[in-house]
Amino acid sequence: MRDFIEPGVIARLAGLALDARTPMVGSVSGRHRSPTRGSSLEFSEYRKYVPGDDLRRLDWRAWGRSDKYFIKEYEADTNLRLCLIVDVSGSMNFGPGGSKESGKTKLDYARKLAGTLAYLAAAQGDAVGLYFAGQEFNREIPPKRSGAHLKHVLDELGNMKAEGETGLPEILHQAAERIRQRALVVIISDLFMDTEKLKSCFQHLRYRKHDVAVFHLLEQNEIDFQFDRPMRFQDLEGVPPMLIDPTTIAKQYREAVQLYLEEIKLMMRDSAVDYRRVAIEQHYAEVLANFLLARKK
Amino acid sequence: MSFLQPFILMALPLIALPVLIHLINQNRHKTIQWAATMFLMQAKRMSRGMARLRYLLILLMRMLAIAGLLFALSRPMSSGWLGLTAGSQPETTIIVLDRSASMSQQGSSTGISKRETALRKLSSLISNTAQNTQLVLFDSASQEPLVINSAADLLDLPETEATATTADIPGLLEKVVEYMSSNQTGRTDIWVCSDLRQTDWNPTGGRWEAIREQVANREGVRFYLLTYPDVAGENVAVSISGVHRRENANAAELVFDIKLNRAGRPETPLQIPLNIVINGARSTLNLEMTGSELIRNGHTIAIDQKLKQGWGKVELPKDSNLADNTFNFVYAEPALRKTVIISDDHETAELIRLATSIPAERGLRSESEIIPSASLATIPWDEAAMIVWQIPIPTGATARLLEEFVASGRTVFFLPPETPNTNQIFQTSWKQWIQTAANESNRVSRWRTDAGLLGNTLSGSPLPVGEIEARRYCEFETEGATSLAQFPKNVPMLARIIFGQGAAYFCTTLPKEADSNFTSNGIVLYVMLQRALARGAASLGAARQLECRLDHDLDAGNWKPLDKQSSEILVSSRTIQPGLYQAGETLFALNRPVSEDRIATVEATELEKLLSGLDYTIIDDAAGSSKQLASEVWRIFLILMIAALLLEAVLCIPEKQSPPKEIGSLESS
Repeated sequence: MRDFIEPGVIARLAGLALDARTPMVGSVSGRHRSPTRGSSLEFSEYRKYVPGDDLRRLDWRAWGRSDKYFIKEYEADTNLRLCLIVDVSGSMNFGPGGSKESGKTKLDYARKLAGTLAYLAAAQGDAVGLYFAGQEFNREIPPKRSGAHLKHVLDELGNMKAEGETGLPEILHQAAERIRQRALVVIISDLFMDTEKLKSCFQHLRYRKHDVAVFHLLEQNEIDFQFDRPMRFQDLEGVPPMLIDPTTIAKQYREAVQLYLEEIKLMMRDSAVDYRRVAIEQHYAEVLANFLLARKK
Repeated sequence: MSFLQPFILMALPLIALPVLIHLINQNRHKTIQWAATMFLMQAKRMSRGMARLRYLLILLMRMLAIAGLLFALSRPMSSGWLGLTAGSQPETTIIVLDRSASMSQQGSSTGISKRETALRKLSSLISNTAQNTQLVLFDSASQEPLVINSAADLLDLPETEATATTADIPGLLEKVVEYMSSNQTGRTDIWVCSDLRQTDWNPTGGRWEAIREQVANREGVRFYLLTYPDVAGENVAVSISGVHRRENANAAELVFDIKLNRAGRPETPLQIPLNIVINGARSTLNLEMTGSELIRNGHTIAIDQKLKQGWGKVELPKDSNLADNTFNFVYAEPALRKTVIISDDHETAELIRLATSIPAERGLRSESEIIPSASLATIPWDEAAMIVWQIPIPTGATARLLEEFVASGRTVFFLPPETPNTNQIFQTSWKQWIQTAANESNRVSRWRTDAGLLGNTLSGSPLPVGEIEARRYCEFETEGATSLAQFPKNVPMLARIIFGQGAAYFCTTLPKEADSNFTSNGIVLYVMLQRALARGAASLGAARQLECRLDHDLDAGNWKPLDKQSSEILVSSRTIQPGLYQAGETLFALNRPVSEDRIATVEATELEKLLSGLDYTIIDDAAGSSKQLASEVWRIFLILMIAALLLEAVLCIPEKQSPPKEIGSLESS
């Protein structure tokens, strides 16, 4: 166990399965629906017998009733590929009140979310992959199902650091291309970037038939902008510092934030993304519980 | 603008305090690590414009508030005429005060005269705004400069009290110009306080041009005319003339002419109870007045036959000008008006004799005597009221006798002799005869109408002096003579020199047909000579009617007051205040000059002409007005400060914000 994985939270969430909203294509049998017909107990449909079909799947009762040969088809259950994409740009180092205190930043929050999700997914036999979205695609761990792989993922999560500008849009496009089979793509980021760029990313992911979920991490003061004296704002991604009297721009700031959030929300809805706006002051277990419950079949 | 606490203005740099605090605040900022920089940049872009303007306005309001406070504390004075106009205090402030009788006119409800109003305002103004200036007073009665230590003294000085004199404003300004030249007064403000009466300003006189020229040549001289041209709403002035005693076998009576002048609404009939006091006995004469003037000639009052001389006065009820409600008179047996004509020119001498031997009024006795130059020893110096001198100017004992004659109050009228010599008397000497060219008109072009031998009549009508034409005149050289009439090109026709109590006149042409048209226009010659004679005769006889003026030659200290009012007057003011006195056998009645009853004032356009080319400001005021020339206006700055603070507060009110949303409560899509 890593320190960012809390046994209590795991125990609380253990009863809630991580489900995909769309059928998954897996290599092994699992608890997730597959687009192909398989051997699960769940009946899917009848089809006419054609020579070469397995006679064991012939529905004799149907033959008895209709004197015709029908093959009984069942849903195929397969495993899920969970691809965690974590934004590791400098802005993720932001914590409550602008602090970079260890354990309280957005990055720490993202670590907990991603770690817990990876653990839960692995526990139910799903493959877990991890991607860091920094200035470049600096870390890529393709999804695998082994216990050793989970350890590797958790190790990487434990060691990840945030710095530099974000490369999320480029990473998302690359991920959409590289993840060949359908997967549950979970993006954890503050999404501080041009919404137009993001839109094309999500559309790309959806085009590749991935089930996309986004945890949008925000700090309350980033929305409220409650300051009463001039401040020197030191950007975490390298933009030159700005000396600003917040009282003179507070209104405009809030308007800009409001507009941005509306655009994000609209974009996520249009792209059928499971969008979760998360205040990092909120406990991640609650966030995850809501997330898992909402996805329950 | 001037300030009572100007040192507080040294703190004016504090106006920059808000900017300084703003800059310090900016440097006292806290650094914060920030992730949502993109919103900051958007907000900064959006806030350019109104938000920036708002912030600048807030700063400006704060600066204005400090400025307002500092200005309020420094006690600014509004209309600080002294400092405002030139940007600094004048080195010298000269006050020209019209103390004439007409300046005693009071305000309708306040009972404060024009003179008092002007003094109060000037005193307040100068005390508040120009403490470091040298104050010099020129009053119309003394015409002498008086250096004053404090403007507050203006109200208490005897030199600023009311008088019954007339004012010679051009004469005063000539003295002011002379003072400025001799004392090098530097930047000078000249305050002229006057009611702009034409008789005092004499706008048609020839002296204004010289005054304008001399003042224009000086730098840093500015005129302030504190004027009171308003005529009283309802005022009646009384004067009497021609007082003489008439006696027959059984009784005696006093005969005089009464004249009332009314300002206000002359179309409304007015009942006037006129009190007549003779030797202390009072009687009332009820008069009804319609129109602006009432003259009752030959009014008689019976008197004790045994009394050969006495005194009296006429009194009007109280009105807006107390100074013209009383007129004093004395009577006695009239003195013989004897004229001695010293001439070898028979024709001229006869004309003069004719004009001087016919008395101007009933009851007067006139007599003229011609004496040739060979019989100078027979001149009756003690009996003569006037000597007409038409022989060369004498020297030695005769000249001294002539000077003593004039100094004693009598008149010498000089006419040019056929062969002038170079001798000088009264600093004047004849030069040579000038024949006017045949095709040239040499009529009198300018003469003094306000006073003197050629002044207007009592009714204000001018004499036909402009019709007098000289075919031949004699030039003269003089120092200190006042020109009373001039031919074109500033050639004098008649000039006067005051010497002692009397006057010497110099006429440059002769009344003969060959020299001038005096005889064809006899009225001017007659009036001129009769006035000169009357002036000389006034110093003879036992009853002497005098016009109030500061006369140092009169021995007023030995006068004995005849009534209560006269006894209350300071000895030094006896000749400038109306009163009744006795000195030995001689009775004196002093009154304001009747010209003070004329209400005509100098029009604005005329005033502009008089002061054209000069730096001047006219401040029209009214008697009793409480409006200050300069008043403290700190309240305005305090209000400005409060307004700036309020506006700043309004600008600082944060815009209405919706309560912050909990991020976690936002719906997920």
